[in-house]
Amino acid sequence: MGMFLSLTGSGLAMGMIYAMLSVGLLLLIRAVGVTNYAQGDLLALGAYTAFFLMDRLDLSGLPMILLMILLFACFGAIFMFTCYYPLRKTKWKQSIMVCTIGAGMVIQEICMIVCGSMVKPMDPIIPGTLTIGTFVLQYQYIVVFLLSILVMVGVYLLFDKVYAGRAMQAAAQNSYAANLIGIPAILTTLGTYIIVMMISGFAGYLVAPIFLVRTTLNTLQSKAFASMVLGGFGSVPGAVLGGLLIGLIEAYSTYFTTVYKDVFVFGVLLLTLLIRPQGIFGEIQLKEKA
Amino acid sequence: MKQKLLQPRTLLKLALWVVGLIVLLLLPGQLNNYQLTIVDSAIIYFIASLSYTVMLGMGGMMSMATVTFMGLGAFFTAQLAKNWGLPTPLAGLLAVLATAAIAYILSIMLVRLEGYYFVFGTIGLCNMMSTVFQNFKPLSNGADGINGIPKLNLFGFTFRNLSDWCLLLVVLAVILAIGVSRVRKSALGRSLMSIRDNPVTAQTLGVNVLRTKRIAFTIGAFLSATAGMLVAFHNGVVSASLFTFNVQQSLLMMVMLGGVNSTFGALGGAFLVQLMPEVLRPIQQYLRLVQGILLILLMIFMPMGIAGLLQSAWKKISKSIQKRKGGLNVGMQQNLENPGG
Amino acid sequence: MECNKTSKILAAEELTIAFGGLVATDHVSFEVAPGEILGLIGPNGAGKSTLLNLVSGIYQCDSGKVFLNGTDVTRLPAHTRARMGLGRTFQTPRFLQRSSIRDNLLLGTDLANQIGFFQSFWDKKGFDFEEEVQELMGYAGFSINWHSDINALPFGQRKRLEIVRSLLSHPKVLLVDEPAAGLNTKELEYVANLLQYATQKGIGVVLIEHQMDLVMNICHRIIVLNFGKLIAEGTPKEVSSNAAVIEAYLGRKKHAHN
Repeated sequence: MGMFLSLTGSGLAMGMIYAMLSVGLLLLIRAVGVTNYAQGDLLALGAYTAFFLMDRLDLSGLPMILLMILLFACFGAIFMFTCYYPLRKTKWKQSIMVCTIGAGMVIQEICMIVCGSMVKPMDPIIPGTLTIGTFVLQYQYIVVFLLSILVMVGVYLLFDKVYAGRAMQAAAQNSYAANLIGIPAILTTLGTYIIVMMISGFAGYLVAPIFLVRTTLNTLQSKAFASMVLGGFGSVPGAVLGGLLIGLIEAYSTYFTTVYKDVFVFGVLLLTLLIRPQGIFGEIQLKEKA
Repeated sequence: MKQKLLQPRTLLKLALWVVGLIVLLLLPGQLNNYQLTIVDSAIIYFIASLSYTVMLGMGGMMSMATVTFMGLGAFFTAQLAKNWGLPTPLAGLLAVLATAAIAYILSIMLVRLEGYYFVFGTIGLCNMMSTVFQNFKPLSNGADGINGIPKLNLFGFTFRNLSDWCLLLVVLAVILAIGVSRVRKSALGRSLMSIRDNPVTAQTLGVNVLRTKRIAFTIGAFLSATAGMLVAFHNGVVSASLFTFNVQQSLLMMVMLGGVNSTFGALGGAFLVQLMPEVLRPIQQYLRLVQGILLILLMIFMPMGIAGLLQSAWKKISKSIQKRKGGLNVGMQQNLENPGG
Repeated sequence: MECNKTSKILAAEELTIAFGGLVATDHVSFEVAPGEILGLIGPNGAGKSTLLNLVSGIYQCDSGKVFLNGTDVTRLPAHTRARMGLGRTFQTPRFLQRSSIRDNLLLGTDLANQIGFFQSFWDKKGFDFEEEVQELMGYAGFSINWHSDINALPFGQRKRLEIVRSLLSHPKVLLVDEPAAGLNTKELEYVANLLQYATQKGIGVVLIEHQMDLVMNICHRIIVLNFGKLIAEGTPKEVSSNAAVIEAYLGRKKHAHN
């Protein structure tokens, strides 16, 4: 029983990470129309940034967090100006996708060049493990879960309550009109990218103590996509729910097999596509009007 | 139907092919073994990239699972030839057909996905099968891979040395490239292109979108599997590391560099990417970095690849030639019809 | 302007579809006989394109039926209906962007011939449709260079070419969506030519149009839609003097075109 709860705990924590990644993916798709192949690499970038600040520059606590946030904002801007801005008027949507693949490769390599190619450990925010009988869970998982929820709530509030968020949605739906009434689309796009980078980078920072800092963190991205599909086409609560479910499925499957847990997860993805392609919260897309 | 053989564009293409063919046939005699390995690999990857020509160039479907089907083709071939003792041509053929069949079954699920969902679905497949290749001993012998694959023995001739392989590969590549070209000119090609440009309009033209996509996907897998089979026989050794997501990214780069709409371009792209590690040897550890930057720059400045660049240059040249000759029929008629434009 | 009033080539019964809360099409029924041109008019937003989408199968209706040549096609997907002879053009011409005119027209003949992918792959000769195309281009009013890029053609020619492509597929019914939009008077004549040629071949035509000249001149009957409902039906004369129609939209235009 304790084992089950432990797995649930770690599953929920990882689930929140997947949720954050998939919300980031979703934001870019909905607000900008861009499929970001480098989402997982952004997460890795976050982990490496945190590592760099803590290990190489010996920072910790508040200064580190602030500097990290600042760096994330810069990275977000750079990412946008490289992969989106030059291509924003292209007729071939896939070129942006391929561009992000290139960006992902570049991010991976730069991280390795700056920090060395060995896999690195990182100290958890709260070290140690919570043990209650057979229930064993590293504190870091709990931290991940709680902080992720905070971040998600923050994003929700931003988009729903604050003007900046509404402006972003308006610009996403009709950039021409938005421009006319004074919402420069380029600024809102920039804002979206920065937010996405913050979410993904922060997720990387959270997950690094568990997974160690390395570039293959980008395989988490495929699971983020699985979350998005499972949760439902274009739906933010869906992405979060999907993320949690995928996290749980992955955690429970480790009870049976450690090596094939990826297969399990993608098996679920393919099953979803077969049985209910629109996901849990999604609706069947009405076909484009002729 | 008046044939367009005398069209300057077709003539040029034909000339390029003939020259290329002559070069490729004479080449094996001139190169040493090391260079032949590069040429051989380039041709094999070219065959795999033909799957992109069909799926992406014609159908607008970007699949990231090409290496998956290459892997299946390779591992099936290895198992059938080595462990099941089948004669090598039969092993190869069965491996490719089995992979194509699996691809068809998977396509039933995957083609329902629109645009980027399809891409991500194939990435999921790629990652999943990558794990399987690395761990599932009955198929791939785990991380060790399979070695000692029997040499290809076709009609009594055993392909041992690299120059023999080069000739065989050139012949195969040409046959498959012609096949893909035929597809482009046939109803399947047109149906695919109409789906790529506008699926709704395609339906009103009688195109069964899902079925056509499934067929295209299967053909793509067939081509990838053939490439995989060739890897197995050519190298004699196959392992999971040949079929990872990173390799898929390299393949994508080959296609994008050469030009997704051009068969010839894909060949050029394959060669260039294979040569890159050689050319960039002094800065070897930055190889992937350069490739990544290259990909970004390509998409921004040359999305249609080198072939695309050449094609638009050609169009501009031929337009200015025709303007000087005295205008297109269409243009003249138009001037008579609506003076106001 | 005679037409064959035998069995109907196209019939729609109580077609209804709602998007969210908005009823876009409200129990609309109509019929088209072979060789007849049925005009479909109504103010913007009345649901004309939606109705065409329902008939061609791009949208599935919530209730109602569609009959093509007597067969119930309501549950059949769009491509099957197309293969049974339901042709369609669009307000903005949709062509293969990177292909020649010939390849684009071949899309039409592919539909007429339906020989299947495998056969098409091995088919060296290709279809001999040059004569047919020449004849159609005569009605369309311009000539083309087979191998030139489709984008080389001006808008007016592309619109007419789309009708030519549909006619090449030998349809039984042709749904035409605002063919006149963006065309000048001369080009309009050619569009009328093409449509009347279609009626000679026994094709039933449904024509959405705002240009009243074209509608009044070539349509045998007209149906009028407003807010998704059918508000009038009859000959051009009857419709143009129908109070409800005038009130909905014809009013000012009628006087302008007298």
